[in-house]
Amino acid sequence: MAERLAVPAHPVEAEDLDAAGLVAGTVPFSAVDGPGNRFVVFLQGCQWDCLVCHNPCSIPRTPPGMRTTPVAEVVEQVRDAAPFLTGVTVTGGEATLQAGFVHALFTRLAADPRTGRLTRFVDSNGDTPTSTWARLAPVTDGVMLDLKALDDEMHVVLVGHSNARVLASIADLAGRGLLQEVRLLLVPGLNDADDVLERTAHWLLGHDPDVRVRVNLFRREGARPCARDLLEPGPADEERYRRVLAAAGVRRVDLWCGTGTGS
Amino acid sequence: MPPSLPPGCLLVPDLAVAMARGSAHLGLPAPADLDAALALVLAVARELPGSGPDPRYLGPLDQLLEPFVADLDDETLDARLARFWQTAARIDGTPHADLGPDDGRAVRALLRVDRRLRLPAPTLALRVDPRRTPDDLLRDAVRTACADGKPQWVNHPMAVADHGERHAVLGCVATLPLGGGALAAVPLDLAAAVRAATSADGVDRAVDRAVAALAPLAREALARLEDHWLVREGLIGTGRFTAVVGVHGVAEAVQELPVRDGVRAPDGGPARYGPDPAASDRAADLLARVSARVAATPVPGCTATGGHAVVQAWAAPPGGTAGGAVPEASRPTLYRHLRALVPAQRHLLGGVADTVTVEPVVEHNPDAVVAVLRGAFAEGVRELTVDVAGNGFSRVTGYLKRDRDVAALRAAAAEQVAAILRAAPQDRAAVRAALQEGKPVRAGEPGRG
Repeated sequence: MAERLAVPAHPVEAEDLDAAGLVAGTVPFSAVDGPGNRFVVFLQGCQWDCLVCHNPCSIPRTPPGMRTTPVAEVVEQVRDAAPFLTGVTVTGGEATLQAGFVHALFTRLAADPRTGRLTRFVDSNGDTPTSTWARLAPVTDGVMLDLKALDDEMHVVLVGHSNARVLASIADLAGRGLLQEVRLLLVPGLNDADDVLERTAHWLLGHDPDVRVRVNLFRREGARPCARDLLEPGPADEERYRRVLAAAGVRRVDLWCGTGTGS
Repeated sequence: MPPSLPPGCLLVPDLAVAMARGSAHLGLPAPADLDAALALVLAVARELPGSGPDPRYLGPLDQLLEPFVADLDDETLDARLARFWQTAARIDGTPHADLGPDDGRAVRALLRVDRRLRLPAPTLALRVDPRRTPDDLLRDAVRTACADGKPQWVNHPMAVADHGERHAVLGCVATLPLGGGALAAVPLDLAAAVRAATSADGVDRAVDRAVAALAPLAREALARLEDHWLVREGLIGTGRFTAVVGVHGVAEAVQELPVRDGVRAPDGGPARYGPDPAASDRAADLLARVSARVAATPVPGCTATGGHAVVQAWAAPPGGTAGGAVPEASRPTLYRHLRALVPAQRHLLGGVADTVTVEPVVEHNPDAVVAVLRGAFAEGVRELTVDVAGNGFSRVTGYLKRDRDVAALRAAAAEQVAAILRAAPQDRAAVRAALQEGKPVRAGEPGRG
């Protein structure tokens, strides 16, 4: 990752200075939320209701008793951790529901000499209007998106919502060169058949020939009660995922156990 | 049999000399190819006098081997290094190689072979220079750490500033002048020193007693080295020595100090070393006082370090804490832990063995560890071991051990093992002799480090 100039590339807007968000929590050391060591900001609230959600307490948009956190408070935490960091990742919940906060945070981080070199990533479910990506793009280095299912019917079963905007987001971000990674949360029997994986790979490669795919292997532990009868992928499945995706032309595949937050 | 040396004496031969001239004593000419170079390194290491788990230096191994690897493909290179590595693992003591700070085919091959074989020894230290060591080499070394806990990571510019270019790291045990080493070593229990002292002068008296004990040992070692083949052939120079004061119990000492001096943590309790920056400052003050006192007291033969000994972090007896380490129970979060180590490590010129543990998931993302290491060194950390949880290896008082070996040993002879590992160098021969005679040996007996 190229070193970033510690010069404010983006003027801090007046509205950004007093921005505040519903922050569910922060983690100063994470090796699982993008490249390198990252400071992770978990934003509260998600518009989806995934059967396989591993962090259901982050779904409510306005949980009672949660105070808002000023951007400056998060910036201060990042400043303190900055020497040890590769970058900052904003996740959730669904980060882009609080796009104003994300924009303000990233703008401030870019302008601060202590944090300006850090890369800024968004981890999103992708159910986001392209106008939001257009707004975030100037201050964002990459976006990691979940694709729960390429087939909309299965997507509705797993998530409760259509995947139309997710697919549009992937196309939009790939076009902007901001698609860092697409995560496939694979649940045996539901979205992991060979032909499904193959079609998903071909669709992704059509938008980004060098797409990086991270397979999240579904794990029951930590999942909601309704997901506890689902199957977990075994070693043979893992081998098959690798083989099918590689044969379909995906050059960069990584397999992880469990899921990121909000998956 | 090589002539024996006093316990605590640790030789660090300059293997580059043997590479250039060969060795008449060993009957080996200057090597012309990789196999001859490996045989020479092994022959020198096997001839090194030493006791117990003392390190046997295999040199800045990648630098020594780099001239011989150009014509070999990776497969051939790995096969030869693997045979060498398995043989070196059988040397008495703890064989150790330094690597870096520059990238090269030899360092890559050694890291690759090491993570494939997963042997507790030889141990490795990787010297990291932010201007010379590329991220990709660090990434490769993190992959090795994921497999077997090696290497130990060293802030190279800091070591050069304190020791000059000619030094060796010797794993988690000692940073010493290259082509010489340590003539003698004595322990200094800072917790006991602070407890017994009624004023700051009392700590000075404890330092004086420790340094005074070094002088006769150093003289004896110098006398015995006079006609040693390593000296005759130039691998060791009698002007390249220091001596070591091995401190432990900094954490306990700074627990005592605030109680005595009325310093409190924000919550009103005594300031705790690790979580409370005030306690770290206390540790720095204490070690500054100790190292100033050590630096002001001449020890015969310590020509390489200004005529005086150096302070080094040592393992502690049971119930104590090694060197300036933060006790496991009060370790704060990662960045605060690393920052808490900085003030103490600044004064521990002779080497430290502080450890942080990371989750095995870094195997997927070695850059995460690379970023933390780069940050730690930028903040002033001198040396660090990164244990990757769940890889089957862990550190026992600084020495890398297989978890299963530790478990087996614990079941069989926990006390004896602890006694050997924790004994001060000058006591190790006695511990060994007692074990050979079948006498019971317990860890933490008075006088042991």
